[in-house]
Amino acid sequence: MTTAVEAQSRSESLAADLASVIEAVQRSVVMVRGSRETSGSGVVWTEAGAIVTNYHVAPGPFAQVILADGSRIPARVTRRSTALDLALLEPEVAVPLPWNPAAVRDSADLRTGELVLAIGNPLGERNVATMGVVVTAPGAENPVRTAIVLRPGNSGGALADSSGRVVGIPNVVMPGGLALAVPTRAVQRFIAARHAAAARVRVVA
Amino acid sequence: MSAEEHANLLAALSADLADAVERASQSVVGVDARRRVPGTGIVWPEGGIVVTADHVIERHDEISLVTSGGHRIGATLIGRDPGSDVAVLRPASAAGRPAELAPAESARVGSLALAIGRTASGATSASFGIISAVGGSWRSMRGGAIDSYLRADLTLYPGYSGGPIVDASGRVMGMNSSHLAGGQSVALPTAVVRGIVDALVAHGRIRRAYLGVTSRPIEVPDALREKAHVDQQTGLLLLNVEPGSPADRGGLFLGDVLLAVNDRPVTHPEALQAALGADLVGKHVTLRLLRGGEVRDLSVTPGERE
Repeated sequence: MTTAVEAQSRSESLAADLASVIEAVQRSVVMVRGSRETSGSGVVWTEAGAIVTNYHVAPGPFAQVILADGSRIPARVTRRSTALDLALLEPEVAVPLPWNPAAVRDSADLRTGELVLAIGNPLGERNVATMGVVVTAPGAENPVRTAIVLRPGNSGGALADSSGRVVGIPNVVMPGGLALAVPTRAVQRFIAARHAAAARVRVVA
Repeated sequence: MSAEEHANLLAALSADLADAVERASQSVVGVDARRRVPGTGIVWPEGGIVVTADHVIERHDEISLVTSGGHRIGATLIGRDPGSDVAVLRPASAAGRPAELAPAESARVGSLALAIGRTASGATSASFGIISAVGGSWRSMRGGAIDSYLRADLTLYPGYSGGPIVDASGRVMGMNSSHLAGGQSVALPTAVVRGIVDALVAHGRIRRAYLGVTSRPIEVPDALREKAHVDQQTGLLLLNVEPGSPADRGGLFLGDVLLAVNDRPVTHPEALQAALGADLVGKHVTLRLLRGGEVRDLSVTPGERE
């Protein structure tokens, strides 16, 4: 039998864990404004500050990254995939910014029933967090299906696991309370392909 | 401090939930017996049977189950009760591990809960929330008298009906139904399901007593209530008495106002249905009614509803 005090301290530490995991993920999530009046979220992916977002958030050649203090940084869209609904942004800044690249986990390891957190800027509200579960484990190929509340503007943000590691980029809300995210397995392939392409360009030059 | 070092309880809870889904899913089958998305079923702890929702069974033959291992096996319908939305199937071979049931009445408002389904492709699927209400007896929208119910704030995706709602340890607390309350997520507690399942295994259906009347509530005027020494505000005006029915044979007429069945007041049609339990089939029942401004008692012998 659990006493009320024990139960309370356990749920309090659970709540504290939740808050600190969300805080950690928030440091890697930015707001993105596309060139066609689109707006959403992005995840800082590399030390150099490359940002992953959805293609539908940044469909044009340029985008703006809006930091927590409201400052706007121009960015170029250096790679895009309409099929994956992914875009890569490279901020054009002279001074290094305190980027916090996200911790990333392979989505193929996700289990059905695991807790997940979505962090983004729905409807322009910053750093909003929602919690849900993995509805169907994605395996190596499928999108991450989650039971979680997402709203417009969550797109391009982070879907993270209970340790704060990003497992997907939320991009689609289906009718009936099902949300889909691009799995990190696909994001990593997208980024690796970019590096391969860049390397080829250099060889030719 | 990194998030990973700090997040011990949250990560442990997350792993527990995934474990609960994995454990419970071994007792969860897909039930393919309709044209739309298949339903879900629970491998019942006893009897080698599978329990599912009545409304996902739209055909009697060629019912197949999809096991947690992705195998497809045949099944036959043993019994069904549309009123409580429960059906029992007999699989051609073992359908999975018998489900572990949560202790009776362990579901409390605020308890963590997972709903589990099996997709058409055989994958396990789950949603998560809390028990938001534990309700007492009610009459479902499909006419069944149900002793208690669970309501949770989780999403029942298409095809989840007939599947389990489990606790954070993966033990079955109830059977999900999207049909009992007009599309809202409701679950029948396992104790309720067990009573229905036992009756279905024994008889193939749920016995209900039957009078053969159609009625609607009508206000009993104050003067008449005083005169007839009646407490209740409403009675049931009989709009139809089926020829040859128990009510007809017992001498009930169109226009009678039914007040009570065996001293149990009937103030609305659902109360009448609730009063007509299986135990009254073939027994003498005293009906109190108003006829011509007078109270009368009539003895009627209910039949069994087909």
